Amino acid sequence: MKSEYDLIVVGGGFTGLIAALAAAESNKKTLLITFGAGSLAVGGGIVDLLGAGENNRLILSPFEEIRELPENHPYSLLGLDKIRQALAFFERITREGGYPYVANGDKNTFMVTPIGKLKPTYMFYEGQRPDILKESRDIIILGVSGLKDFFPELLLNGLSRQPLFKGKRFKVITLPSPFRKDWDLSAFEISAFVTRDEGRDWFKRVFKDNIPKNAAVLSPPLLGIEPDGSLRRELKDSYGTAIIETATLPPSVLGIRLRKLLTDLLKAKGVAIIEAAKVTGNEVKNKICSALFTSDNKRLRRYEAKEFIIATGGFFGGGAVSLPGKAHEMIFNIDLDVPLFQEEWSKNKLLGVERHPFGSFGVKTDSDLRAIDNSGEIILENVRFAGRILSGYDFAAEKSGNGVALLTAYAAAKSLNNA
Amino acid sequence: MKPSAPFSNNHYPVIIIGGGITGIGILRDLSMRGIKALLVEQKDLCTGTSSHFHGLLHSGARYAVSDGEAAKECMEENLILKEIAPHAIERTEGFFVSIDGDEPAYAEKWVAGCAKAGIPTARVDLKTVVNLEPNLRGNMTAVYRVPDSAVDGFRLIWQNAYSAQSYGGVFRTYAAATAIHSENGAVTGITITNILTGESERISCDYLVNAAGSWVAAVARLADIPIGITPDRGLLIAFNYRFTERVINRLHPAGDADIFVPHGAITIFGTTSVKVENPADTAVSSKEALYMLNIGEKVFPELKSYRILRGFAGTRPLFSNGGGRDATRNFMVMDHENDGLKGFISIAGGKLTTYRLMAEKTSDLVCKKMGIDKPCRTRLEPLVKKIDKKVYKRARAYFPKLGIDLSISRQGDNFRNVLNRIASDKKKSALLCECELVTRGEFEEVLFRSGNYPIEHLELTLGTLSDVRRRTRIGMGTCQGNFCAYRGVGTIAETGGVPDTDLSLILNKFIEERWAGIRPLLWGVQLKEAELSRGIYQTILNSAGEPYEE
Repeated sequence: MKSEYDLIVVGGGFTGLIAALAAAESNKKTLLITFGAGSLAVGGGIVDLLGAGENNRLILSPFEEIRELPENHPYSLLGLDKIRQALAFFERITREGGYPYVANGDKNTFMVTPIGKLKPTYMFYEGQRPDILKESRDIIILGVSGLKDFFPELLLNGLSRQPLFKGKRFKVITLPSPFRKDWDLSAFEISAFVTRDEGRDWFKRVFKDNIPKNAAVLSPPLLGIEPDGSLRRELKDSYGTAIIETATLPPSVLGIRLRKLLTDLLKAKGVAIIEAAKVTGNEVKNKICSALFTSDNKRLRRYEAKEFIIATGGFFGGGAVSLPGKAHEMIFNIDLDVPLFQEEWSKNKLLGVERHPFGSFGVKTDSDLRAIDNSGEIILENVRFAGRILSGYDFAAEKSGNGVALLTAYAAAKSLNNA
Repeated sequence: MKPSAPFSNNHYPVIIIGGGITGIGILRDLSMRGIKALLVEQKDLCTGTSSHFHGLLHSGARYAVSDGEAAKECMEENLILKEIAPHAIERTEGFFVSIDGDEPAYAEKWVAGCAKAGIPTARVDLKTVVNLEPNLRGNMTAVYRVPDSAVDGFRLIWQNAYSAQSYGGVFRTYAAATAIHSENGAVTGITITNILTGESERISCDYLVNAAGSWVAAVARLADIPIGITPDRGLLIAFNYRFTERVINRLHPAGDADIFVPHGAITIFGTTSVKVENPADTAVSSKEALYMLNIGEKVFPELKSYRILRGFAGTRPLFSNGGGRDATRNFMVMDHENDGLKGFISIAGGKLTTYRLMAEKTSDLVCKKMGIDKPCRTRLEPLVKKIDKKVYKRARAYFPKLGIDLSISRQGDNFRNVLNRIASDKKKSALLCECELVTRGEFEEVLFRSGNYPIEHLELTLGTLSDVRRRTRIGMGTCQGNFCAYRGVGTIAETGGVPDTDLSLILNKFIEERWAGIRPLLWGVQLKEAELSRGIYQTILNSAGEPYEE
């Protein structure tokens, strides 16, 4: 099947969705090809810009720290101006989508994690401002009977150790299960229930019966799986209560809401999406890629475009492939610079202070996000790379995942010809 | 015969040092003979060689040519253990496989050696082999079946331990023997040091048994007695795929990387042989792993494409003058009265398959010295009493059959307690570990079971989750702890364990322990899973994050 697109984006995770949205805004006829689901359903549905520096030092002012990053970091490669533009773009499109993401000026915001630790992030859904937790003396930790992956007492164990929460009074309130079954429940299934009218009514009822007015509540994500703040607003208006939802282990409701927000925006912009399609081949001549191939059991399909943005993820997403002593980018087989001995890929502690070399393995690019070889020569003229497939940053240690994804996706789309 | 002092908390007629299979086997044997014994172990039970080996219940065929005596003992014990420990054993049978390049003459010697040792073998035609084992596609020249089986060291030790307890046996973990005391050339007792608190105490005894496995020489040194033990390190790789139904051995003189053993949904592949100085040297190297994989793929050509769960290494306690594969794996019971110290006995060498026999010989000697005339009964009584049909039926209301069988195999007679917890609160039937089908109820039962796992340890040991892991297998399956470790600390918090402990420390320690076995093998799916772990632990939970102050 032949098609004439201006742009093909490969990868439907956060990076790919942003790239396609930004390109569509520039009136590029865009096709998005995606195989898996990316890490949106794993992540917390927030945009981390830069949360931790050397030695895991927590960062309050990311823009100051960004200035100090090495020159091969995607932030340094693209510059602060681009970063600001990308953030502004994201703020605008989420507002368009009815679920606005905001920041706290130039400062990071500290979110409470399911084990009561604090984790810095930069942009988050506006209904999730955690200021209310700082201001309230009393905090309610909400549970649901039978919820298997959220433990209010565990959250309390961590939170009571945070200096910022010193002197606060905590109370655990457990709501009854909405179902006949009150064991082995997930936050996702409760949230999916609450998305329906029947579930919404249930939630309002048990909330009214169990939670005092004007309370500050920390809860797992129960308010629905759609990017829709209306229930939260209703509870605030009716009872004066503010709810802050924590992230959870996958499947992440907060991440799923963000994914829905972005895919709905894409569909509204008329971008074609092909799912469950794995790119298995490419057509390149004289450094120009003319087409990509996907194949399943039945047939080989060919997709033509003038330009390409590769947002296939890293070792987790499948964009990078690793073997003993070797690694390469999945579509074009670009060799990644990795040590021969596996022990040199990592450090002694998984969660320690020393950064893992593998954390930043990826494709090296110029400032237009085109892959370059070791002598600085461009490998492919019309192909750009964005997101985790890029080298030079560590999403987990730095807490910069969606920030780099957003910036590089936006920058790749804007650097297309006549964008 | 030595008069024994009246029994008190600080005196036991017999103290056993070493909580591996041999020590625990001796504890059970002596307890069944009515002798009050205390076992002390420096870490948790089953943390030495007993948990760092293939999990192979030998038929003895592997030693048919090199050591006929050992082969015969293995075969006899193989049958006995299948009778008394069915819950710890998977009766898989085994194949010995020779490929292109393996000497045919060896096969003849081997068949003759097996016959002599009483090990039944039968040649299997290659077409049948390929149907039975579709992944076994190396260039095979001959295949024989043998009664090898798979055994789980953790289950075997814990079932022996619970059985010993039911006969009055006592064991203490995290209690390292740091001194041996004697008077007038006879043992009077030992000093144990709690490795968690640093506190020491003296316990007196009439007889002292050194069953410390790879540490046998180190313990004997406390009494200034030299024993020639050569720790020999071997690497094992666990695959997240049961790619063989049977134990597979190469039919050639024993060499590296020639054993594959299936366990549930995984396969353990080993091993190598490297002389080391330190019995605790359990280093895993990528070089050694790749060396093994290159040999293994001659038998299983797709080997390198199978997902690796982790690598781990154990030291074999070889009693020898030389070392390596030439050192005998046969065992020796040493009466140190011959070295000038009465009442001190060491048992060295051997292998897990013959633990019961080793324990019998050692216990016989102890009894002889005590003037007690009671025969060994360990081969006569199963480790786990048969589970009542009614109990089984009651359990069906709460879990699927596979879950029940697995839980019984792990908890033995204590399964009743697990079931009671679940019956009184249905929430406890939720799976805490989906990979190994461990319910909340089982986790809590193990966590709170007084006597062998005091809850007060939670304040002291960050290894809590690992202790529970060894008794339930959480974190040993596919997810390697990503989900169950979090649920584990969540359950500890919810059941009101210890409010003063920072539970994130326990969580992180568990994750780091799993990481140690993954690092040297960090490629392919292993690397993908590591990135998922980092995503969860560093960006969702931020479990190693420092408290933030303004």
